[in-house]
Amino acid sequence: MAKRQDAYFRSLEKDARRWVAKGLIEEEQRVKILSESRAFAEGVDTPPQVEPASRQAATAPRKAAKTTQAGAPERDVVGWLPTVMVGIATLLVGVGILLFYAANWRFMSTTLKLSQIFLLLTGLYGAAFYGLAVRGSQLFGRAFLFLGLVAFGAAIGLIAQIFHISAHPSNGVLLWAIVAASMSWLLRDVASAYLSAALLLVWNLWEVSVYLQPNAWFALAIVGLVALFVRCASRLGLVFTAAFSLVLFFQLNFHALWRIRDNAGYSLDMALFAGALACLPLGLLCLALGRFLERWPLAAWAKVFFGSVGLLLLWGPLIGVSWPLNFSVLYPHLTGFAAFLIFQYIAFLAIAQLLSSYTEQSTGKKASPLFSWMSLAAIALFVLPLGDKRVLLITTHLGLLLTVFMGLGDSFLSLSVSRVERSVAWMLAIATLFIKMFAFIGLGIESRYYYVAYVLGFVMFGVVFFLCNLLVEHVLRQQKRSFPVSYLQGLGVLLSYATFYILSFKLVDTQTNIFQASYFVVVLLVFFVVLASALFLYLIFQSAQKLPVALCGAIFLATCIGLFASGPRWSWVAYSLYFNIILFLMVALLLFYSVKINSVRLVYFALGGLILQVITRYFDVLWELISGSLLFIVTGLLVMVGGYLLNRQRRLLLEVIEASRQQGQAGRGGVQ
Amino acid sequence: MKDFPIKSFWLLVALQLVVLGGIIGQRMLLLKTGHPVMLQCVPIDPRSLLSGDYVILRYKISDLGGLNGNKFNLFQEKFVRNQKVYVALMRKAGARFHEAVAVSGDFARLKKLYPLVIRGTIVSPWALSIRYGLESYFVPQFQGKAIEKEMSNVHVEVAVAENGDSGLRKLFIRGKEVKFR
Repeated sequence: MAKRQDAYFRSLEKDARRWVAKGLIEEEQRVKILSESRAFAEGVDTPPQVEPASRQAATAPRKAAKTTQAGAPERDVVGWLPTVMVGIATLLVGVGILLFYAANWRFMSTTLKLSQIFLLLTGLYGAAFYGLAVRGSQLFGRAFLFLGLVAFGAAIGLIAQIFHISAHPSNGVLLWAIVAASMSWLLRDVASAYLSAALLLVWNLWEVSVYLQPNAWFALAIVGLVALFVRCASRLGLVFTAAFSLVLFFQLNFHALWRIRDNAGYSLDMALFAGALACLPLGLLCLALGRFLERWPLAAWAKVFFGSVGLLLLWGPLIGVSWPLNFSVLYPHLTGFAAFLIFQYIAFLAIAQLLSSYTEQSTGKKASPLFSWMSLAAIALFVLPLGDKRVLLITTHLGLLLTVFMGLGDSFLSLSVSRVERSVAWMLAIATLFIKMFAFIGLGIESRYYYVAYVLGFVMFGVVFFLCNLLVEHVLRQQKRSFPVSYLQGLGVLLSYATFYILSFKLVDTQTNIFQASYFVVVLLVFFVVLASALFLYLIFQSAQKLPVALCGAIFLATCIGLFASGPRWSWVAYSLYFNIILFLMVALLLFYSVKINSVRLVYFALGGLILQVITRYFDVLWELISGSLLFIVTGLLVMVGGYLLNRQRRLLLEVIEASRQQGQAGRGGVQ
Repeated sequence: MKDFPIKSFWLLVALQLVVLGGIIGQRMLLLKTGHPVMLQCVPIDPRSLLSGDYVILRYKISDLGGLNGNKFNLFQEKFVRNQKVYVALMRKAGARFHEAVAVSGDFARLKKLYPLVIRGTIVSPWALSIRYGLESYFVPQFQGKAIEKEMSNVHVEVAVAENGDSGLRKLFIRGKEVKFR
């Protein structure tokens, strides 16, 4: 335990020095923190859980606010139990009062009903006043304050009921929200702020869904909520407000697109396309906001929210429109855009740039490569004739690769990126591979005569994906940062293997040569080839990982042959032979690579693939040739022989790997 | 809490009471001084009649569109959803109920022609469907069925103020006022 304490103090001293250097704390405070921690540790065996600097700073204003609320140092509340008990008790009392009134309400005269409403309100607020101002009891005082606000909402409903008022009931919700917000502002009460936020959201949704009145003025409610949650020092509240602002954005855009469809006679496809592209500048704005908010610990969660959502908002539209969509005009996004959407696109893009420049200047930190490149992409997508399928496919695929890999690279390059943002970046990379694989196979099945071309098209995309992954690793290595390159590499190999495996069945019918296909398909494939070739050349000469690049190149060449040479002359036998050769080639290359990098896991993976292929082909060929019992006997014998041979081969491989490892360790030991 | 803002707190509480009092006062004044208007209810889809503890009411004056749309639209105006409009009401000699005679977004122009005008909001411009804020009548739990069954014999007395504001005063079934006790 003493060893653990020493390590803890060493780490604390290091951190404290860093905080002083960053200007977070003064030298005097550093000394105090260290002496206080040592004194605490002498009394208690376990070192206190110290929050990171950002978290400490974030909770500081909230704690300070709580202290000022009490007017004196807050009492020690033993755990969370009393809070929960009082919470449940408040709820029970509230439900009880409501049930009592529901049962007896109709027997009362109007005057009696109204008097009770006023009495209840005054009583609850009086109790809140007594709790907070006289007794200094935060818990009970704030519980009654909340009940008072709930009673105010109930009073609005009851008055409406007594006088049968039904005109625009959402106004009542707005009135209730304003009162809750005012009380929260006055007493810095977080619960009332949450109530107000929830009511404002209900009001907004009611106005939009029932009365069909989306309006940009709802943004005022969001501005008010930001001010309120900053005053109450609520990080969760700020995240809620951030989400609310996105809800408002989609409401306004959906409404604008709906009107375009209704009034201008544009096709729904064009409106949706325009709507998808409208998310790009919002994504950039979110990224810029995330960076801008970094400096305020109170907005730490909002920063993570904007960072993650920003990435999603860039990726979503790009993967959504990166397909051969049919448009009758060259500029479907501009034709489909209303003036509002054009203004919004330019305005958001400009605000994002200004915000990013301001953050750069004030903090000295450069904008992320993702932000800079995607800003260019957003401008390009706005001005290019996306109605031309060639332009659409090339730009969106390029944008997609930029988003996925720069997002991923940025999440390892920037120290301020949280685990949530990094997880989102991983998720998007994986989702891209899977979505593209299923979609390419689906398109292939649908088109039938281009089945092989579509599926091999995915392998091409997979190769480019694989190389981009290596490029990220190479760039990060230059920046002295580590990057787990094997995750996406492994997934890419697995999905490519699965694709070739699917193609190796006797499903492939007479195929049409790819050059007979639409011009845009050929252009997209040539684009993949050019991109992959450029990446190959760069990585072969620059990267330290030359072997995986070269092995990937072999698979790529084999794929190109199949893609461009296949046609009506190839029978199913030719296809079967071709894909089986590729599968064997993949297994052989993987085994070779596993020995080179000493990876036992990869050996098992490659052998698993080999077994799967051999069994599949065995049943493919023999199922119709040999009768049932004989088939099983022959199979059993063959498996026994094959198992023996395979096991011997596996042992040999493992021995080679083990020897290589020991040699490596000895080498390192010698150097040391 | 040493720095508890006593004055502001009680001011805010008082403001809440004043707002509630204002709503109540305005309603009471309207019901007391408003011009009495009798409106006949029309049966509606029974599935949407009861929603919680109130009955949804619909009136003859709720829908002014269809074939007769132009008859009411005296000034040939183009209405939009959620627009505030005014409907002129008249009772023919010897008739029991008031009926709509004209609709317009221009209150002053309509008021010059007709003394009794009620305010509403356009729900559907095409059907000239109007909401007056008189569409809910709150009843004790499970007692709305009686009104639902008799909807074609239901009528209400409404108080209409000079500015077009209106409030539900009484509800009748077969000419007899309904009182829930």
